[in-house]
Formats: sequence, C-alpha cells, structure tokens
Amino acid sequence: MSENIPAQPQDPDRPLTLARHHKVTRLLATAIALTILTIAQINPTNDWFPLGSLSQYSYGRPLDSPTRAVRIMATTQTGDEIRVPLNQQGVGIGRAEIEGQLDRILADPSMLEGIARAWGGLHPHRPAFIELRLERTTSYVENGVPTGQVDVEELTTWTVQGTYGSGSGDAS
Amino acid sequence: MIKKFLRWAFAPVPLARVAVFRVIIYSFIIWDIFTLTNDVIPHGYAPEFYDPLWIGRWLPFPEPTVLGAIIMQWALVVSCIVAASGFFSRTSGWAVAILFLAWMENSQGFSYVSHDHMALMVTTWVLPTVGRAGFRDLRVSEAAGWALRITQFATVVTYFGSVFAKIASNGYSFIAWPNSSVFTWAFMRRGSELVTWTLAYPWLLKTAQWGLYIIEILSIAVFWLRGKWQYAFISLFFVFHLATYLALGIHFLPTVVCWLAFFPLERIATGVALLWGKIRHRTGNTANAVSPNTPTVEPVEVESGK
Repeated sequence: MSENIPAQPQDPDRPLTLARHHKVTRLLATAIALTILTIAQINPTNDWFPLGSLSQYSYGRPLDSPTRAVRIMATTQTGDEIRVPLNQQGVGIGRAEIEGQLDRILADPSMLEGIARAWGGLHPHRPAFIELRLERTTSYVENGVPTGQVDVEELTTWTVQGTYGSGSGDAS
Repeated sequence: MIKKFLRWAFAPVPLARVAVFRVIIYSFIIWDIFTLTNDVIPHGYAPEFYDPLWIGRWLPFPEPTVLGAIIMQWALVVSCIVAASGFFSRTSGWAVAILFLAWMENSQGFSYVSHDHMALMVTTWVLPTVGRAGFRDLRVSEAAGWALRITQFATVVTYFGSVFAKIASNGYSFIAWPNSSVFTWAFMRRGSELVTWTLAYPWLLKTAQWGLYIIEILSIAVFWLRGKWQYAFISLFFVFHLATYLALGIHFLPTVVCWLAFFPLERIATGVALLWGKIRHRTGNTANAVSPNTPTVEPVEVESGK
C-alpha cells in the first residue's frame, strides 16, 4: 500500500509514516468506537456487543442474599431422572442463557423442545429426553457462608414432542 | 497537547512486532473457537433460543444452524492460518475479523454476553490495517504503532471500564461491589469441585474481590509507566490472573493474550532466526543461513520515552 512505501527501505530508524487522511480515518473510527463503548457503560446495555457494557459479575451480592439458579431436570426414555448439563458439551445452551430468557420460556414452554433436540443431536446414543422440568433452586447464605439449605421450585414442564437421536432403539 | 497525543497514538513500532503478534492472536483464535467459544455448533440444534444482538439484527449474519457453524469454524481456521503466516495480510485479516465477529455474535447471541473477548475482537479489526509485515522487518511504522496502541487501549479499557459498570450497578457506591459477596454467589452457582472449598472462607473471596477491584482501577496507569516498570506492572496482571485461575478456576485468557501488544515481540522472531541460523550452520548447510555474527538491527524502543 502506498502509505507503507518507505523513503529509504534500508534505514530502519526512519519511520514509515501514515498519510494525514489515513490518520484521520483511524482516529475517527477510534472516536466512534470509544463513544459507543462509553455510552454503553453509562447507560448499561449488552445489546451493543462487542462494545457493550463491561458488566460481567458487576452486580454485588449482599452477604445474606440467597443464591438463585435455574436448572432443567429430564426424564429419559429409559425412565431415568437426570439433571440436564446446561453447558457447551451438554446441550450447547448454557444456564445463563436459559436464565437470560426465562420470561420467554415461561411464556412459551415449547422452547424447551430445543433442549431435547440439542441433546439428541449431540448425544445420539444416550437415552432421549421425554419430559423436561424447569426448576429454580434457592441456596441460602449467612454472612457470606452457605448454610446448606436449598429450596427447589418448579417453574414449568414440557413433554417432548419429537423423536431425536438414535437412542430410541432401547425405548420402553 | 494534540501533537503529543498524536505522537503517542501513532508511535512507530517495528513491523516484525505485528508479524509475531499476528501469529499469537490468530493461533489463539483457533484454540478459542474449539475450546472457549465452542457453543456455536451446539447452538445450531436449538435455534429457538437465538436472541440476536444489535449487530446480529442489523448485519446479515446467518441464523444458527449446525452445518453453517461447522462451515464457519473451518473457514475461520483456514483464514487464521493464512493470516498468521502473513500472506495476503489484509484480505486474510479482514476475513478473520468478519468471520470471528459472526462467530462471536452467535456465541453471545443466546441472551448471555460476556466481556472477556472485547479486546481480542477489537484486535482482529486493527491488525489487517497494518498491511504487509515481515518477521524480520525491523523498519518502524506508524500504522503498526496505531494498531498495537488500539489493542493496548482496548485491553486496559476492559479492566478500567468495568469499574464504572461495578459502581453504576451498585447504587453508585465505590465500595459496595468489593465488599459484597459476588464471588460467593458466582462459586455457589458454578459449583466446580476445584473452587467450592473457598466458600468456607468468605474473607478470602472478599480479598480477591478487593484485589481485582484495585487492579482494575490502577490498570490505566500502565500508559504512564515505561520500560521495566511497565513490564513489571503488566506482570502483576499475569500473576493475578494465574492466582485466580489456580485458586478459583477463572481465567481471562482472551484478554490476557492482548497484553502481549505491550512487549517487544519482534525479539522472538530475531531469536528464532538466529537459532535457525545456528542449526543450519551446525548441520553444514550455510547457504542461506543467518550467521550469528550478522549485525542485527536493534529494535527501536519507541516506548522508552525520550
């Protein structure tokens, strides 16, 4: 590129300079990106990814506030009760991704069909899910130390409609 | 003042530094898409959970499918290898930038957004602007200087900016976050066997919170430090991340790798070339070998501030 043609290619001390308009373009792009990032901090939003709020773990938790988490329990076609691994290897959907759209799921539990489909696609030889239960656990904390008491609350259930994976071979 | 700022923003660095940094960044991305952000292929099985971010709604990124994700992953691997080697540096670099943005938009587009990839993603957008950069090209360039400066800035802002999020999210209090039990909350939820022992020691977690908070506030000071003090300061971050990784299982590698933009990486290329020259010398094939006695150009330390 033209701006990289050196005046004296052999002289390493002589900087390869950028033309003025190349510098202006770079500074403008930087200014726009920095403005977006700054507004995203003042008025926190994740929607402007990758220049959104730097908000991971930014909410402080009071020392006595219980820790809530969502989990999905599944009944498999072999009758086992398992806890659905909500991670990248399990069903690809993470727990935080379920919690982030809990309202949508509660309004339309058929979304959980996707969990059964993903399990079948990723683990075709494991027993398929026939029923899913979305639950919320509440673990109590006192002075920053867990008490060990855990409450479980059922939020919704979904009976799987489709047949996924080849695990159906040893069904019923 | 403006002149001083421009000299800082475009402070020339050797092109070889960019060449080595490209190898590091593009290799890291290959590792990243197979280990850290490998949820993109599984996401294809459950597209009903896709909740696209602004860029996903405004740019024509494909809807999540398994086949689409596999194609995207291998396209990224190929463009990363080409970009790391320095061939077609602009084209391959832009290909990585666009593909990685699409990849990350999918990974983060299921209603949970993390921020440890911000500096890495910014880096993929500035590296192609440098153009051709050879591993032994010690000529200093303003284009290279700007690209690495932006990477440095994005890295530091990842820490410094999150302080504002921590203050804003806790009733605009400066001490509420480090005094809270946010790590207890996080570890109770994560429940990894490696870290649960720490739950019995809230003071340990609180100390870690204060450590993180203070180091985030101080991060911006790196731009006022020079030479070995700067390297020592950055090492503090490496030690902190290593400690939290060993004790708590949390790493921040996509950001950690971007800290390397502060270092005279071209010395790695010079070192490798010298070593290679010695090996060839010893095996008797001296045709194109670099003799250890060849005067190599000392990299210009533009950041040592005169």
